[in-house]
Formats: sequence, C-alpha cells, structure tokens
Amino acid sequence: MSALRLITFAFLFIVVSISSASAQSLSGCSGIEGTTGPKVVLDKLEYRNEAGEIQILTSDYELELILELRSRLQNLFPDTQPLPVLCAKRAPKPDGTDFIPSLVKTLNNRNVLLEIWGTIKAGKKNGKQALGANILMMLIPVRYYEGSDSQLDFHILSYPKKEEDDLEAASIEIAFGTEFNVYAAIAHGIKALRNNSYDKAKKYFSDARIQWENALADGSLANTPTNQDLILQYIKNLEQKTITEAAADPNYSGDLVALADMLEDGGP
Amino acid sequence: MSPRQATLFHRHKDIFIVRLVRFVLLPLFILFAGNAISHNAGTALAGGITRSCDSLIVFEGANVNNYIKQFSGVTDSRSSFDEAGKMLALLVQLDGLYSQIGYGSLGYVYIKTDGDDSPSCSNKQILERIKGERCCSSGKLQDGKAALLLSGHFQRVKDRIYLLTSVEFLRKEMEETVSVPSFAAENTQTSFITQMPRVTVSFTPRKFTRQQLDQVANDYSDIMYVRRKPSLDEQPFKLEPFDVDGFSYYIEEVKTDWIKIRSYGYRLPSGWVKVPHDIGGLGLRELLPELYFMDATAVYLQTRIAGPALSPKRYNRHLKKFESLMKKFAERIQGTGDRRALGFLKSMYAALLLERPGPGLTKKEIKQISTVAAEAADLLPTSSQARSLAALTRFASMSRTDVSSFPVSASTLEKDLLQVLSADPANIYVKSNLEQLWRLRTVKDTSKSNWQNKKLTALRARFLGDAKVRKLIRKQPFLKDKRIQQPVEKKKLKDGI
Repeated sequence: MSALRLITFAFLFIVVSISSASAQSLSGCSGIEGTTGPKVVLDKLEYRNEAGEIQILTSDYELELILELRSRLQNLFPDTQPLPVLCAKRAPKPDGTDFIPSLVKTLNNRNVLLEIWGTIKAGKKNGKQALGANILMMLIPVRYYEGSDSQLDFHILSYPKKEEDDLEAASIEIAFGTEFNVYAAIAHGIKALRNNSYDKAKKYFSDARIQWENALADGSLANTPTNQDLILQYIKNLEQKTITEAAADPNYSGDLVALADMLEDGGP
Repeated sequence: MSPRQATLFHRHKDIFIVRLVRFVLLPLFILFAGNAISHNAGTALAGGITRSCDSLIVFEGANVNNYIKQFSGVTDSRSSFDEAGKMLALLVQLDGLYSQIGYGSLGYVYIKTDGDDSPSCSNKQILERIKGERCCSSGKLQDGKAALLLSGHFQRVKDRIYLLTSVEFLRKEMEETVSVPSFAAENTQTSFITQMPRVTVSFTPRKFTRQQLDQVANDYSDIMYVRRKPSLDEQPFKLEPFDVDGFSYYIEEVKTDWIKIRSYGYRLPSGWVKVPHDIGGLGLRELLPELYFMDATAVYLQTRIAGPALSPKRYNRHLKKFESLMKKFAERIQGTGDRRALGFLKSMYAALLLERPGPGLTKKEIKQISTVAAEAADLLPTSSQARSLAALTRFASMSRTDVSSFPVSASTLEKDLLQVLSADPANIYVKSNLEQLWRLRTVKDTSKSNWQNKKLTALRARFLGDAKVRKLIRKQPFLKDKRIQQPVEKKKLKDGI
C-alpha cells in the first residue's frame, strides 16, 4: 500500500471520527430526533459563584430553564410551537468552533433553529447580590445557509453584573431575553423563506424587527461584539429579500409585493 | 345436551352477556346519560363533570364551557404524579364552582387523561370534539358560544412541583371581533371592525411544594359541606371533592353566600354549600394566578355573548368584576408569559369598554379605551390584532376630541394599518379597515392633499378583489352620503365577477 493511500485512509478515518463524534455529542439530547418540527436546543448553562467555581443554583435549575423555554416558545410561535430540547451535558466551545459543517448540517436537517449555552455569574455589586452572564447563541439556519463567514450566525451576549433580589428568576430572564426572541424569529423566518412561505417569513422577520427596534429604544439589549444596528439592518435585508423572492415567484399570489411598493416611499 | 356441551353453552352465554353489557348497553347508557347531562346546564346555572378525552360533554345551555385537562407530565414516582396532578386539576375545577356564580351559565368539565399524551387527548382534537367536528361528545357547542381550555405540563421532583399551564379559547362559528366607532363624521355611525387577538397563552411556569398543595386541598376540603337548607345551623354532610371519579354536579339555585348543588354521582350528596367570601383566601390562586386570567376571560366571554340582553346595570357589574380580576392577575405577574397574558386581558377590557351600553362614548371614555388598547399593544408587540386595535382607538380618540384633525389622524392611521399589514399581509380585517378609511377620506379629507395616487388605487383594487374583504366591508356601517366615491377599480371588479 502506497504512502499516499495510507494518508488518504487516515484522513478519511479522521473525518468519519469527527462526524460521528459530532453526532454522538447530540446523543444525550432527548427529543432532538423524535419529531420533524422546529426545535431549540438548550445546552449546558453553568452557574458560577464569585470565586468562579461552578455551583448549583437550585437542584432543579435545568428543569426550570426548560419549562421557561417551553413557555417562551409556545408564546412566540403559537402556530408551530417549537420543541425545547435539553442537552445538559453538551457545552460547545465559547468561540463556536465546534460547529463544523457536518454538525451544522445534522442540526439543520433536524430542524434546530437555535442552540444556547453559556455561564451565569453571581457576585456582589454595591454590597448586594448581583448577577451577570455570558450567553452564547448559534443560529443554525444562518450558519448552514450563509456559512461560517456570516457575522450574524453566532452571538456572544454579555450581561454586566446587576443587583438582583431573586438570583434564580433573574438568571432565567437573562437566558431568554429579547435577543432570544429575535434570533429565534430570524431562524424561523429563514426556514419559512426556504420553503417559499413568504407571508410567514415576512411575519417572523417583522416580529424580529419590531422587538429589536423596541429593545434598541429602551436600551435593554446585552453588550455584544456585533453592532446592534448591523443586526437591525440584517433583519431589514431579510424582509426585503422575502419580498424580492416573492416577486420573482410566479406561484405567489399574496399582497406582499404590492404593499412593499406602496410603503417604499413612506406610504401614500 | 351433554354435560360438556352444557358447560360450553353456559360459558359462551356468559361471554355473550359480558360483551353485550360492555360493548352495547354501557355505551348506550353513557350516551343517553351524557345527553341528559349536557342539556341540564340549559336550566342550571352552572355545572361540572368529569369525562375522558374521547367521551367529552358540552353543556349546551351554557354560554361558556370551561375544560380543565388533567395535567400531563413526568415525575420520579408515577403513582404520586397521578395523585398530585389530578388533585391540582380538580382543585381548579372546584375553584371555578365558587368564582363564577352570578355571571351567567357555565359548564366545567374536568378531562381525565391519566397522564395520557395520545393524539385523542391533544388540545387540537379536544377542541374539535367540543365544536362537534370530530366524534364523539355528548352535545356540541352552539354557534356563538365559547369554550375555554386549560391544559398544563406538570413535573414533580420529590416534594417540589413545577407547573406550566396554557389557556386557549374558541367561539363556535364566530370570529372574535369588535366594532370601533370612527367619530370622523358628526351625527353618523361609521365604524371599523377589527379582530381581537387570538388568545393562546402559556403562563410563566409556577413552582410550589407538595405541602403547599396539600394545604390548599385541605382548605377546599374543609368548606365542602352540604346542608339540606342554606343555614349553618343545619346538620352538615361531608362532600369529598377528590373522589376517584372526580367531582360532578350542577348548580340549581343561588342565594346570598349559598349555592344549591345537585350531584351526578349517586354516592355524593346534594344540597346547599356555603360559598367562601374570598376565593383567593383559599390559597390556590396564589399558587396559580392564571385562575384570575381564566375567570376574567370567562366573564369577558359571558358579557360579550349575552351582549344586548344585559341591562346597563348588569353590564357594568360584569365590567367591574372583569376589572377586579384583571387587577388581581396584574398584581401577581411573575414573568414574560404572564405579561403577555395581561396584554390579552387589556385588549378584552378595551372591547368591553367599547361595547358598554349607553348614550355614546365621551371624549374621556374613548381616551381611556385608547390608552388601554395601547397598553395591550405594548404587551403584545407582535400581535397585528392588538396593534390594529390600538391604531383604530387612537384614531377614534383623536377624531372624538377634534373632528378637524381628520386629515392628520387619517394619514397616521393609514400608515399604522399599512405597517401592520406589511407584517401580516393576509389580514383581511386590516384590509377592510383600510378601505373603510379610504372611503372616509374621500368624503372628509378637505386638505386637498394628493393622497389618491396610482399605487393606492391599485392596492385598493387588489384588496377589493378578495371576496372575504368585500364581505367584511359590507358588514361595516358607513355614513350614508352621496358624495362617497366608489373606486373605479371596484366597479370594474364587480362587473367582472
């Protein structure tokens, strides 16, 4: 056997191993394979004390998170009701490099919209108990359809420490803030657009834009390396893309295009 | 007949009898009994019963049927789950018995699922059965009447209980809409018809202990005494609400602080029950504030269904009750899901205020309605219905305050509705309201602004090409004025259709 053939086999072995490792890393995530409906995956959300040690906030913290996630998803998307999937042992790297193309493809095929993980940090501020967090979110359809060059697929949300009376309630609110609502709507919209459901896609993108604009106005968004105005522009571009694709589709008979035409000069 | 043949004959006879009873007589009995019960609430003031998912019952005489589905979920011990989950849903049913007296005829059905997540127990199939679209239920919801379904996901870890509940409602063969007067023309009735936000809400998950639940159950159990007459001097008989078959009854009569119940179960007593002064004092509503939401929604539905049949005095009593329940819910908000629920209540409140009987809305009243609708839209930022209601009531308030502001307020409303429509392009109510507004502008806009451009004319024609939009427009009252100009495209379309 030539050296070249050996290298080829070794290379293939590594590729297969990485792929299966990616798939295995999802094996403990109950519900991810069960249905074809949309899903949101909640990975490990660590809770650390002031010394940086991992602690247990409450014994049922994961259960409380998943129930809150279920409630949010039912309210945000009453028609599709995406399934919350808990992957409590899965902790992707903080830089998102675990999301190699084969894993992203697997997740996208399983209709995963969003994956969330991160660290909640307890501490003190002005002598009182306080809470901060680093929450990471990967928008699977954005990564899959736009590739890793997209600047808007992976988001690191940084919440500075803030005084809180109820650490548990605050940590749950932080995990699913406005960003969660907006990114889930974007991911859902992209899926709808891929299925040529233009009206639905437009609804999801408009919902995302309205919530983002409201949050920009009241300053409730987390700190993030990504420019917040850039995200707003990205959502507007998605709205425009939906209209353009609807206009080009001979099977589309809705009013999106006529309405956009009417509104393009700021209305009548 | 040989002894062997005789034995075989008797065995077959026994099997035949068992099968006859099981598969023919019992279903027939259930069917007839169910029909009798479903009609009882026509004369009764309220009723409650326990049924399984595939043998539901509809109290046909009741304006609102409340369904409480046994909470589904998992636990570390199956038997304890059954006990605690069932007790919780039964307590909700029992709570309803006391809270709604005096606000119309109600049915309370506890749906026993045994933790069953099968398709026949899905909310979708349950609602289809209630509407009579799917086999089988005793009775079916009458047109215009409402059904409210409370379901929940229950989890128990040791002595800690977690509960996520959701509520949705439907009205049979009827869109939930409200009419908003335009006030754009004096001495004429021109109004818009807008859809109410579709209520389907998941509340903030609740957390409590088994001890807290037991305490609440005891508190309810302690008041469940039946007497022959409505007097504490009468000898009490204990009524066990957590009976294996659930608590099935209907209310025959109501007196101050007392209700007369008749039990469906032969083992359960009938008679007078003392109603607690403060239902909240029994503790269940502190664990589950959504019960205030459910009650408020039931009062809203009762009021709207009864509609013109209610005297102004009675209507105002309903309104006060709704306000009080909404306030209690608002005081107990725990998170995002609850805030969304409050948004629904605010939009219902705006609708009730709009329909209050009387000589007509004053400036102050329509301003209040506009504020309430705006609050609802803030709490439901992605609901096109809530945003429409806010835009229309704001327009009404501006017109009511100053009729001469019409050109400005009409232009604002037009932009608002177009924005709503761009996010929800299939919304026919927004389209018909835009058409109504454009007709008003044709008559009332004296600003000489060139608002009727080609794009708008084309858009109007497009909307009017939809038969559903045309049907809605016909329902909307419009000032009778010969100056109204029908768009040319509409005439063409009419000719072509």
